[in-house]
Amino acid sequence: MIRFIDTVILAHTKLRTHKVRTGLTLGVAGILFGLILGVIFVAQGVFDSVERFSEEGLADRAIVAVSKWSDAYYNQYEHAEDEDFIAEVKATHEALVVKKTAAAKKYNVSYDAKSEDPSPIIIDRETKKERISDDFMESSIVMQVVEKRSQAAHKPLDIKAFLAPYPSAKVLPGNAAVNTADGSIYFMREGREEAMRPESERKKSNGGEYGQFETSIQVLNDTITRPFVTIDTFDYDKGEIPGVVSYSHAEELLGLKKLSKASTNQEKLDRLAEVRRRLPEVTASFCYRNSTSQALLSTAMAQQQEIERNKNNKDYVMPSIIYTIPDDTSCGAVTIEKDTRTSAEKHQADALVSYQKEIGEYPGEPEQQKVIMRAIGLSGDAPTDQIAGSAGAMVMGLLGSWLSYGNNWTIPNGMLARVPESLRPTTLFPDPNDEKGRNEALGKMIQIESYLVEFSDKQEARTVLQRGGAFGGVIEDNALSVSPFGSGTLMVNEVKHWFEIGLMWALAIVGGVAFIILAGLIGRMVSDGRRESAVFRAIGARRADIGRIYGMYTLLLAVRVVIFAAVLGLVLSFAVDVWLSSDATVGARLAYAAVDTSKEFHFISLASWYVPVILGAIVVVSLLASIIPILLGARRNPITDMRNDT
Amino acid sequence: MIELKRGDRKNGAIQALLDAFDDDPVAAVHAVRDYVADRQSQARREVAPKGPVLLSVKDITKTYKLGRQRLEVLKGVTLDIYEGEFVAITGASGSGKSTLLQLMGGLDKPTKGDIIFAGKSLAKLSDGKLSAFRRDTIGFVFQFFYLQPFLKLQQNLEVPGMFAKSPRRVRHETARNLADKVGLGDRLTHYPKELSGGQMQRAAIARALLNHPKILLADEPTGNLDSVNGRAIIDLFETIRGELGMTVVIVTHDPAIAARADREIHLKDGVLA
Repeated sequence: MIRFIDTVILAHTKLRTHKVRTGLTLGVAGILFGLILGVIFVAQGVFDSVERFSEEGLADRAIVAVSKWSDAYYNQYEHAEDEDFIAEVKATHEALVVKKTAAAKKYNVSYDAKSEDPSPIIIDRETKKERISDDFMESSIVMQVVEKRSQAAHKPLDIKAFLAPYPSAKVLPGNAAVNTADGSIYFMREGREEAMRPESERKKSNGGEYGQFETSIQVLNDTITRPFVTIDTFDYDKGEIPGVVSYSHAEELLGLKKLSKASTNQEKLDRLAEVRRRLPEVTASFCYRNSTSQALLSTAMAQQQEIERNKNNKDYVMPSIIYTIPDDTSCGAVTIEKDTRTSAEKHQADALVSYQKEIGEYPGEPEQQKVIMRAIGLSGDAPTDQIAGSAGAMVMGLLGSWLSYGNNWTIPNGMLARVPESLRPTTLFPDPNDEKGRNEALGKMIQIESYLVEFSDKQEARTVLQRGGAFGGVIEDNALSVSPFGSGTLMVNEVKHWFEIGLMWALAIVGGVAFIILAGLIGRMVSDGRRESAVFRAIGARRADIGRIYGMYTLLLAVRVVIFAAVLGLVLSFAVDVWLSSDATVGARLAYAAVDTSKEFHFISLASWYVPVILGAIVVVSLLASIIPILLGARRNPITDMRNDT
Repeated sequence: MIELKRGDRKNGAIQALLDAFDDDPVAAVHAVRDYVADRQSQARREVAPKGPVLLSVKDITKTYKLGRQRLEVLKGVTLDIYEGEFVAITGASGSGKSTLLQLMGGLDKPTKGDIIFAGKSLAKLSDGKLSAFRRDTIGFVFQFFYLQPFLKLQQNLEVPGMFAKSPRRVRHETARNLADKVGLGDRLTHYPKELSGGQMQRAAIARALLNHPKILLADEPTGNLDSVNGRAIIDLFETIRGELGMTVVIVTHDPAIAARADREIHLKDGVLA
């Protein structure tokens, strides 16, 4: 058998023949495999970078939000002609009229059932049948029945049963939105109550009046918030409540003008550093008012405006009760400045309160509370509409570690428990020691139960998310929704999964194409080398020697494809890295609100087990492609090949 | 150059030829050359040592399939080649002379019959053993030289040594010696394209000698050369035969070359004429 080095010498001569054909084949195969390698280098770079940044925030934890909303919402519009529904509405209405009439009589309050509370039932002109009047669809009577029916049909989420198939799942307790059954908690922009600003100064909101949906407060389990907390010391007796603030909101609270889209990456990083440095300064005020307080404030403000308008009107009769509006920074109570009511008027007012209490319509005493939040940590912004435009925005959107959507404050439940109870009334804050882990709120009609579930086995988290689609979503048969919480780690895992599948397909296709073109080249090379093989056979080469020479030729060819593909892959991924790394680094640092600002996001990494797989695949494909031509070539009769040549 | 012996001049045969072609000097030269070659060949045959039989061709037949047709190239050829002999196989194109040479060299097996080399039947050898036989025993020389265009002369000469797994140093040295012997010692670093036709054929002969074969089989070795180079190649064969005592069998169309052999075997339509 010919020696290895001699095989290389003879095989190498074949690479010097048919340079154009060989070059084209090398080029095509190299480009195909090079593109795959490039994708792998880039993908691995992304995965590695994600892992590096995962040390920040929640990124390495597999937390899934499992929510269930009432799956039995009774839609009154669909049942406007339903006889049972109509009968129940009618009965409820009649009972209320009876109750109101009796209470009115009892407390000597004026009440006309026909004018004040006409029947919600009408006769349809076309069908001549009873139906709910369109005007009463949202009335309290109809909604009472709707609520009753919805609640009767609602089946609460049995989280234990739902998680039974996933042994690594653990419900994280102590999570709840700071939300109120009555009234609202408002963010005080620039420390002032939005409702007390003149109309022209009010912020145009896309989510409700006075911006109450633009900034929210929630309480979350300590283990979730811990990675975001960077300020360890907090004075619980100062009247403030500690919270992790979202990056953009912190920026706003520090009075920093939002950077323009054209701002440089350095400006963005400088901004992050500044926000981090000035984080101890960040505070935000919120004002809670129940509906009575809100109504009273509105009344007082309207009264003040009326008095102002009539200050020169001598005929204007001042109201019997004159209110004092609190300072707009205090979130204080409306007080009575002057009460000139007669005793009869006072008696009538008391009677009205008693009547309202009797019929269950008493709004309650006014309640208000100012809440001052102080930043103890920073979280990344949740993905919004930024998932387009730049690598940084994409990274922020997909990989960030966030605690809630929009501007928000997140209070660690353990820290909330240490805040004096006077600062966290139960009407406003949830019980920080609630072990249920359930966040249920948001109104009486549509009930939402929400749990945060952590999986120590990420595969189980993936399985749960897949029940709602590849990246979470609605589980149709359970009226549940599942979604990744806190970071894109599960999404990235899913991307990795699909990437692997896509890669295998791409490899199969590229391998097939490369096989065909390499087999073509090697076949031609063997065919064109018949005469030479015949001469080698004549001077003593065995069939195996000829096979070894062509096998070595194939290996040398494969090595060239490997080198070309690797270089191309490196160049491509390097180019992508140069192009996007800077943007992505900024995006990642912002997304994770990174504490360690030396971390960089790169789009290139060679440390992937796919790389040897691809390089091995090139060699294997080449060798496979050479087997048949080599076998056929080695079996030829040298005499025939020499004769054909001459 | 034709060397005339004193006797030739004396016996008047040359003079007679010159006189006969008095008006055509070119024809006269050819006639004299053929006469001299014939005389030399005759003389060699008279003095050639007849050693033991090196190779026996025993009633061989070789048939090729060409599509549905069967082409019988050799039809019962029997002959012996003796050690140290210089044999020319001649015949018209398609007479089977190249096939006979290749079968003698173990490149293929006869359809029928056998070839016995030094007492061994080639027909019974496996493909691997036949390869080893060719490698260790046969030196092939071809009409078109068949040097590897991308190897320098040194490496070209060493190719048979590569298949024989000869130590690099040994084959390197042998190749240099052989290159010197064929007058190419100063061309070892040249590629074949930098050599003339005659030089390439000399290189091919040197390559054929690398593994110290017992017999040199040359298929139309001068067919691609001009007459001067052709004669030089035959001179080289004679030198090799003389110095190394090697058996040489060449296939040729050229009667002048055949005349220089110890023996001429003529084939006609696959049989010995």
